[in-house]
Amino acid sequence: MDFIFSIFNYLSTYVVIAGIYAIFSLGLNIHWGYTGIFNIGISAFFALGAYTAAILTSATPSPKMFEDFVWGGNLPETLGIFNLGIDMWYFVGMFGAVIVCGIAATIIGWITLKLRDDYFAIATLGLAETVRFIFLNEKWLANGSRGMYRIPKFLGDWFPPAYYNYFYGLFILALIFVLYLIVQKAINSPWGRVLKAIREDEIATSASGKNVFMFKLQSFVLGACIMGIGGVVYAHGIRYLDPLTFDPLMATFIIWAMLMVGGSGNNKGAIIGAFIVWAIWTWTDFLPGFLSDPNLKFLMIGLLITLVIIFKPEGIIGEKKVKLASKSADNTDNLSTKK
Amino acid sequence: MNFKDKITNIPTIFKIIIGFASSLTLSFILGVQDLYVHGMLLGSIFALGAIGITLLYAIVNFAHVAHGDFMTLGAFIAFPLVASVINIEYVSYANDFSFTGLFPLLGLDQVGIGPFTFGYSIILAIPLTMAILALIAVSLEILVYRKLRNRGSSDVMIAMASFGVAILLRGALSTLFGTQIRSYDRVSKPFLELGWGIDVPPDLLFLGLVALILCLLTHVVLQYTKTGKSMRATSDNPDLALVTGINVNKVIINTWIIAAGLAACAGILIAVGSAQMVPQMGWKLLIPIFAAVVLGGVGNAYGAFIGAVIIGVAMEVSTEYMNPAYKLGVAFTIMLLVLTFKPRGLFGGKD
Amino acid sequence: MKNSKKILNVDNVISGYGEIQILHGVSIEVYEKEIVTIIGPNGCGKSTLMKTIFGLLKPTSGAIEFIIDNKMTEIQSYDTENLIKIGLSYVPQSDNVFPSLSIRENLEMGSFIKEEGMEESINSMYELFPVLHEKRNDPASQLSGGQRQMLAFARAMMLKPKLIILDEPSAGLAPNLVASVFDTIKKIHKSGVSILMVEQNAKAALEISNRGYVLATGENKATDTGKNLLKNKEIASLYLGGK
Repeated sequence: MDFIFSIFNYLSTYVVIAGIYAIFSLGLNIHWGYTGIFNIGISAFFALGAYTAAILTSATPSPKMFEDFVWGGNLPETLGIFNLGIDMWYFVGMFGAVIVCGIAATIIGWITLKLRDDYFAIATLGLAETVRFIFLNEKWLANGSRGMYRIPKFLGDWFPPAYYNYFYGLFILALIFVLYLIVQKAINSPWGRVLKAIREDEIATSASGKNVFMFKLQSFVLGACIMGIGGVVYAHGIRYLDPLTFDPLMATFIIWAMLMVGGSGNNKGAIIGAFIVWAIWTWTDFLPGFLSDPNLKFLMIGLLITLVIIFKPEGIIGEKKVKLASKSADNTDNLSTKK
Repeated sequence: MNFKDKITNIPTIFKIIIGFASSLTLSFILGVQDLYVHGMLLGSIFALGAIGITLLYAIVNFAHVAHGDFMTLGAFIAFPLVASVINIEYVSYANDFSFTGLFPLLGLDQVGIGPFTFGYSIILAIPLTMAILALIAVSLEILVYRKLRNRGSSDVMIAMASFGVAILLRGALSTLFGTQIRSYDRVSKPFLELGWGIDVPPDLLFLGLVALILCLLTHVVLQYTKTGKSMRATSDNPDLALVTGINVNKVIINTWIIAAGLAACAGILIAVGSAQMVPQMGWKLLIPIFAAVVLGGVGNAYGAFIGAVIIGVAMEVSTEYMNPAYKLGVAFTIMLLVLTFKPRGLFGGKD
Repeated sequence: MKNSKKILNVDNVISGYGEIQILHGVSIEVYEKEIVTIIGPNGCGKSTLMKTIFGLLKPTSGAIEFIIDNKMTEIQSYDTENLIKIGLSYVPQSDNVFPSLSIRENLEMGSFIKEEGMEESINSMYELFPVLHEKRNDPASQLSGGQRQMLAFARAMMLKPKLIILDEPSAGLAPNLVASVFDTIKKIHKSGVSILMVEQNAKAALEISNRGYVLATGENKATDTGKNLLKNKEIASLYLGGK
């Protein structure tokens, strides 16, 4: 019985983390898969989402317990009047996180999305590092490198601690389903078709009278907000945050690998890719010797991303074959690089 | 001719000299001349990376995201050449081992020559590492980037591939060497007092000098050799280069050799200067280096050099006024400001 | 002209971009020391033909022959470097100089594949176009439109080609400069090179041409001497802008 119980425990933890990654992967799919914008600073929105939710919902810690002082708005008490059996503070935290991510994305996107695509990439990278440095150094904000812990559980009182992960896993699956429906709806709308047109041929889309910049910006903000939700879900699921959580390896690179495996431009693929990569990631821990070395796994992730781009740019399990933005043959740019 | 025209008509070189002289004077007035000089020396090391990125931009037309990891790779290629003891401790692997580096094995294990913290082995390792990294870069070009270009992949797709390569290189270094902080063999040496309140470590002077010599060498190659002229021609107008009979693939390979060589040297210099190295250091270096590239105008090698010096100075001087941890934030903010108000950079570059 | 040597023979060439076929069987020939102009409406495939001859596009069928050691040889499989070596040279329609390189460096690029004799070639170009000598150390971006065209031709002349292919040499120039461009073309022709060009400015081009071809919808429509084409009423009304 204990054995079965531990398997269930393991599976629920797996579902929680893989599910959180699936949300990021879904957000990244809007950026890269549907619009072709190159975000290498996912961890910025991960961190902003997670910290915003944590700061809004955690109680102010006792100065005796911590060297550093203020954080938290203690929303559960403030919002007591709204508490109609629904966990209001959780959703207020999520709302705050979405707003913060949306603002950050708007600022970065406004400055860089008019320019060459790669400026945007570097700006997202810069944002990610800057956000991490702020949370690392501003101790008053989020306890610096010591991190924030005891972040409240979602509907924490309803479940005994041993069952929290089961419930939260199911909640995440439901949330993924809702987000999937929303993204799917958006992508199949006229708005989403413009995004795909931008990915295929930005100049032609622009020539047909579409404000490419605005569409790109909207896509970036939408994806960033979804990533922010992923951060919120992480904060209340793992219930501990420190700046190391947002190291690019675990908060950006691995998500790219998930999308690449799942197939960019395919929402189901993006979700499934997260579950597959996280399965491989955790299950290889049981391998002997240095095969379970996390560094080796990162090497493999780099190799995976590179190989997928070279040999199967549509992703490994991509359902729909996605045509990549390739230059048409009469584009003279091609001549310069032709053999 | 109105005043504005008069200003625009001043030759760029004079503007640079005026800017340099006035900012240096200002640094004396504010009492930050020490940081200013440090920043200039660090900036000229950044310039080695920035010139490489900007040349790749100009000629291969994509953002080489793996450039920071190229620099790390350079530092780590030199490590087994110069270190007297190399400990390898694998995570969850019992058989840790250690070995002696190549140059100490050959008897070159002296450190602390003259006023410097390092030995001759570092000076020997620089050209060797540059050659090795150039070889790696050319292999990547042939195995990855050329394939993508021939398929007609977009620039973003190629930048994306370099992102994959960046993770790959970083993962490979972490797997081989672990993630602990390492450093070359060194002995501590006192700072050099240059007067006027400027104290610099002698190492930094040497490193800045090496960086400057390499920048000058790059200038000579670009301006006066056939290779350099064909590189500038390809950057100017790739289609015309093709019909002129310039072998564009060869030009691209030459660009990789120069960019990777400079990156390798920058990596070693940074590892010596900061007396430490970790596999993840390159990813963070990307921000000041790209800021330098954007500031100088993308595709403009001279702009990249000046941009790097400005970024270096700004980052160092900022530590007087704010938490030194935000140095990268300063570089990032400058980049955002330039992208907002002058996206073509100070000295004009490609769109 | 018929008694002089044929140097280029394009026989029933079919070509285009990828799947899109633009030339449906075009034949032209160029003899030694000739100026040949190809005219036709927009989109008739003139530029495609030039690119196909210079190997930038590969024909799907037909033959392109060029004289090598007094023998006509098929050159479809030649790469750019070899085409330049056997005496072909190509001046693209626009962006045909390296703007940030100095004028001298632009000329040096003209003899990129063969450095011997470069100095003499540069000097003879300076003699032909003194203005280039005057501005030899300035970047090409500082030249006027007409001077740029001069530099582009001079660059193409550096290796003393047998045939220069000009893609719309007067395109994008102010009307008062057009005449000077044709003067330049006459000048380089006098130095003994054959010229094959496509031109929107059909009248002016035909006036200095020995022969002309009319191309429409990717096929040959007519060919004659330049003067006869100018006199031909049907051609004039269809392709030379009325009158």
